Amino acid sequence: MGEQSKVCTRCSACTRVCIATRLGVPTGASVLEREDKFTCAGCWKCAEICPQGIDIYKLMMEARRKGELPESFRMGIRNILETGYAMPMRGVNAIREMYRLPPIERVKPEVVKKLLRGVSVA
Amino acid sequence: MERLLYLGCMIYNRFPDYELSAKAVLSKLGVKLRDFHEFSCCSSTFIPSASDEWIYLAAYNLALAERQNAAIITLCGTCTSTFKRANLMLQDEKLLEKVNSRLGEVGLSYSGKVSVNHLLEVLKEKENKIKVLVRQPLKLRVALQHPCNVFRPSYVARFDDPAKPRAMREIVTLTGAEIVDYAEEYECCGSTLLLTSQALGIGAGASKLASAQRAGAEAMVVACGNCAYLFDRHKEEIKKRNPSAELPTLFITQLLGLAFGLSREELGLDIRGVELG
Repeated sequence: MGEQSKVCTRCSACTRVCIATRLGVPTGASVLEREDKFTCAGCWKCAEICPQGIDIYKLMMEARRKGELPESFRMGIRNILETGYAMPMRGVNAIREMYRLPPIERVKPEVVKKLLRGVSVA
Repeated sequence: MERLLYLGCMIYNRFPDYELSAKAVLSKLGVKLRDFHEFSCCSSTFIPSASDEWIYLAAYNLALAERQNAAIITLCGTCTSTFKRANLMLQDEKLLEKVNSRLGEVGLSYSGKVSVNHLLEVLKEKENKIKVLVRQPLKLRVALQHPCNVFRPSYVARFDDPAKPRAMREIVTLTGAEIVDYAEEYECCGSTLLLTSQALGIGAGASKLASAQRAGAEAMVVACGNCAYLFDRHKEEIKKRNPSAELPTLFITQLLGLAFGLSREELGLDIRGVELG
């Protein structure tokens, strides 16, 4: 199927399987019409069911990159840029010891800074 | 081939009992596992929402595995999908070249060929061995939470039926536990909604757990840290929302471990304080 035929017909197959829509998040005829591109469970049932075969994941991510990131996303990205992990890692090894798990060496923060040098949340 | 157990942020930070039980069960199944040192976040939902540079961080982990000549086993949905998507995209030679130029700055290179499988895929391969190892068929009624991103998008996952996955059901059946059918079984847990709306995430969790409990479940079995993050770490908020939404969360390897006759301690159930039946 060529890209040209991949046009949304606003059939609402995607919104019918969307958990956010079911929970009351305002959505148009397609999940891609939803104003808030971040309130999404990321289950990608929409992408699976689209009869036009539209790559909703790809379009959703592209749309997010054009808008402003919500604070929770900014925090996740800040954590990744500073430590290499989305979540705070303080005290992890002490907890692992409780479970009799060996310590794991962490990624070097300077490695992550190099790899993601084009990413910023400023 | 040896395999590296990729923990991801969620298991490393919050659910060591998933790691512990996965190691115990996989070792019984003869899977040779090594700890994955210097792994980073896969990129999660965060970096792809901000930049196409997410693939550098994903490829970093894949390259680390390649340097050790090892395949990767993942424990969560999003990590699985992120790595598989990176591998798929890196079949494009131009992109692979671009990624390698960035990886070169940190002393790594990547061929695009490291195999990535979620735990459920590995368990599916070992069904016959699981049958032999089950020593105490479980007398427990459980509900299943299928990890979305292990199956969807299907052109990335290439595993099982994306609308109605069967793998988890087939594996759990081997433990003797009774699987209850519940109305919301094939719905997403909704955990990621917590990022932008606590109320929506808790609402999704409460609805799911109540649905499973009405069907007679005594525990919710999960195969992803993000699902456990909602069901277990937010259980008090969920209970406040709906007092009849109260179910202990079990990782699939904890259920298998119990059926293999492993102790609560070996599976980390004691420390997380999981009480069954």
